[in-house]
Amino acid sequence: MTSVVIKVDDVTLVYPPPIRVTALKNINLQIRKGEFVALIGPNGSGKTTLAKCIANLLKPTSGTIYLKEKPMTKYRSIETCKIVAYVFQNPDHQLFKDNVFDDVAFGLRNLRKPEEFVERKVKEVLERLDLWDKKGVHPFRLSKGERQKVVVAASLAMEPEVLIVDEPTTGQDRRGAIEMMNLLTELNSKGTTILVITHALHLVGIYVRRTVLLNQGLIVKDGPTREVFGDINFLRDVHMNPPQITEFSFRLGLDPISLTVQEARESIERIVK
Amino acid sequence: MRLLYQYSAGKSFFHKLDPRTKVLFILCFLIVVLVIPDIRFTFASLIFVLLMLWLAAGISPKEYWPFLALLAPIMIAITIVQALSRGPPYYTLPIIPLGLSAPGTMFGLTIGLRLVTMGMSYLMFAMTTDPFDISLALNRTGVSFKYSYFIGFALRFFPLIQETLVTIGQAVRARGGASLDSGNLIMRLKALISCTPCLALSTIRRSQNIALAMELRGFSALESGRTFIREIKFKPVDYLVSIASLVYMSIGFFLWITVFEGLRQLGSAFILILVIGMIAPFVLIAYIYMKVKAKKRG
Amino acid sequence: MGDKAAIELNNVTFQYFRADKPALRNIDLKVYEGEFLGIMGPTGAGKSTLLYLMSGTIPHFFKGTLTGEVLVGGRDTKDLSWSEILKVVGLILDDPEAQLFSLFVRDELIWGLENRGLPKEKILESVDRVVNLFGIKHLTDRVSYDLSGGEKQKIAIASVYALQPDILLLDEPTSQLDPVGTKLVYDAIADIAATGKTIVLVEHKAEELAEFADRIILLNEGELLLDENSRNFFANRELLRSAGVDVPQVSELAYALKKTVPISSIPLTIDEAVSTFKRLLRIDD
Repeated sequence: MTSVVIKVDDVTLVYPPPIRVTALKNINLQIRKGEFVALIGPNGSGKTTLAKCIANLLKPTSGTIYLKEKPMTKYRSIETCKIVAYVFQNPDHQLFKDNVFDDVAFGLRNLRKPEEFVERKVKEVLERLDLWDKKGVHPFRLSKGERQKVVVAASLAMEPEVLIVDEPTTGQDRRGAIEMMNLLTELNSKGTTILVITHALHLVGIYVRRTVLLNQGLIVKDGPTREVFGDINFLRDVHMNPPQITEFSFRLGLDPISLTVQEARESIERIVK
Repeated sequence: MRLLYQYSAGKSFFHKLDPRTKVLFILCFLIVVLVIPDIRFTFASLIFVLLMLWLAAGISPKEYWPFLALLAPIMIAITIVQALSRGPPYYTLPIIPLGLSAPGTMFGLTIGLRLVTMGMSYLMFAMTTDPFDISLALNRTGVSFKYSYFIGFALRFFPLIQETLVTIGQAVRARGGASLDSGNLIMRLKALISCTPCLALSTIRRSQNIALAMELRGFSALESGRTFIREIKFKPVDYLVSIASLVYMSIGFFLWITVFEGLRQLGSAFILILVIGMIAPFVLIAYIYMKVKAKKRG
Repeated sequence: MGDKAAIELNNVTFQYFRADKPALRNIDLKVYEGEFLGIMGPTGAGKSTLLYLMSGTIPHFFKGTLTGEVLVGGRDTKDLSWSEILKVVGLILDDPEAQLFSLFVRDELIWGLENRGLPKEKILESVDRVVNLFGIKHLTDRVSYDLSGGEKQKIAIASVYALQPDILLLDEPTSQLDPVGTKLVYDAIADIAATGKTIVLVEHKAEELAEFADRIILLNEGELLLDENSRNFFANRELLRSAGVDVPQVSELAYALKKTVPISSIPLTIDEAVSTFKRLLRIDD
């Protein structure tokens, strides 16, 4: 049994006055090393708040978060950022330098890594994401999709064990979205634990095995994607839309419910025979 | 979500006043606070502002105590500097071989209290005045539509820039950088330096989209003749508060010269300020009276 | 749907100032009055540029070299001021944060009308009309930046629609929104479509577009590659795939099963798909 890399133990988070909103209520969650988890839920459900707590960017009001079996409070933030990387939703909020290379190197230099290591690592990551020829360009001159890749590269350069990505496919076209999901899948296959916050449920159905559904600060579903999507009425009650093909298979009474077009095709072909 | 210094709709007394009235009231009030050197008076003025915040503006201490907490170290620093640099008589401290000047301490505390009073007055104004009423007031005073609009626009967008800074600060921390909330001031400064280019560029990028969206809804359509549905009008209570403020300022100046020997302190070159301070309020009252008469006639 | 062209592009080529190649090349396109036109294509294909040309944003806000003619209501945009074009055309952008500038929603709704210098009663009438059309009465007293993304976009659409344009252009209005927000926006679009106005929508989400569009065009690298009614549009699967464009999942399924099951008409929406397959597989309701 692989180790539990993140354990969220009865965590509650209430924003201080004047906001005073309870963002998270008694959250219990365990993520094992090497898992690929999707965090879904309507706006205001607490997904981003929960993810930021896991990345040690926000502190819970009560309860404890354990990172690699040690309470988060016993870490300093410069230690946690080596283990958990967080890619924010808007790339424009994470670009700090006037050229792509330095931006991707920013984290490593903050961690005081030796310069030859930094150069080697940044080159490796930029080549992997097809950005090497843009290394001298000012990040704000790149297209939105390229800026998104830069911020992912910057987080990857820190060699995190856990990668949290917040809405990586928003505003992307089909090709960009698929590229991103393929990248996450590849990273996961190499051992990185991935937590992706998204509302692109059709992509979750295709790529992600485990889904955690939040609503109004509570975890209301946590399990294999097929199970979570299978309860279509529940999804609709919390204002989430299942992928079109899943809803289609539900209305047709297909069993098991389809997460992808391929699955629906196979189900129907089986019926026809 | 309501952040500090941000307008929050309400029906309190202060909310209903014309923005020009509020500016005048706060200006007169602060001038008197700055001029009168008695610490008891300064303290009383601060209590008055806090009471006004509570009663007339409906803002409770729970909402602004972080702001006060921010000002406290500045107040203490100023007090200490004054206490160490002024003359006798001295307080002696139990262990530390230092003497704190009594008049210096008083003076330092007075400055500190004045600062807090100014801050709280601004808070009262910002939290009870719709930014676009400020725009309208400016426009009425003769500033062109586009410039006066941008004042309100800036005030409206300021909280969003604050929010963006928080996110960017978290992004810096996520990459091993310093924290904006660090206890260490140098670390905080480092964090701010990392955040600033990002904040500036993302704001510029967003503002280009905003500019386009505004043009698409006809922002530059007319040179003149734009309709204004929003209205700000001087009501009887506005005249009352304005006149009361001016009279208050006049009395303040009078007391300064007579009781507190203000003239002797600053020298004869400042007779001009005194004359203006005492007479100008009445000139302004006369002006307002004439304007009201003109309005009633026309 | 009329045969009159609300907007016409005749052999239009446009290159942005300081760009190294044209954003659009030799575009010939007619948008007919009352139709719902969809525009699909990968990022950088020129979709936004096309909407900018249709709304006068090019040449009045973005500079560049334009050849060919863009006709709005039969008149060349070169001969019209931007204000004149915007009396006929409205444009909604993809970023909800960038389209609300007032503090309160009710101020936002009147803002554009105030800019036009219309009399007070006309303004209040117009606002009443859009508030009822979109069902947003409960939002009018809210502070604009407290709204959800979808609510913001809906207010942006209402604010532009209050100006009573004949043609409404929307540039990926739901790209920044969650499913709830997307539904809010599409409800507003449906309300507008029901009044018979001409709508042009740039969208990546094939499922949503298939529900509304009469006709869809494909842009890729500045060129118009396809111009068909919705059903025929999604039949061009190879071309769409190579351009990186989505096809509704149920349509994709139908194509994949064409050899196995006798499907006469490819379903575009989930309702069509469910009824088609229930019939074909003889599944009872």
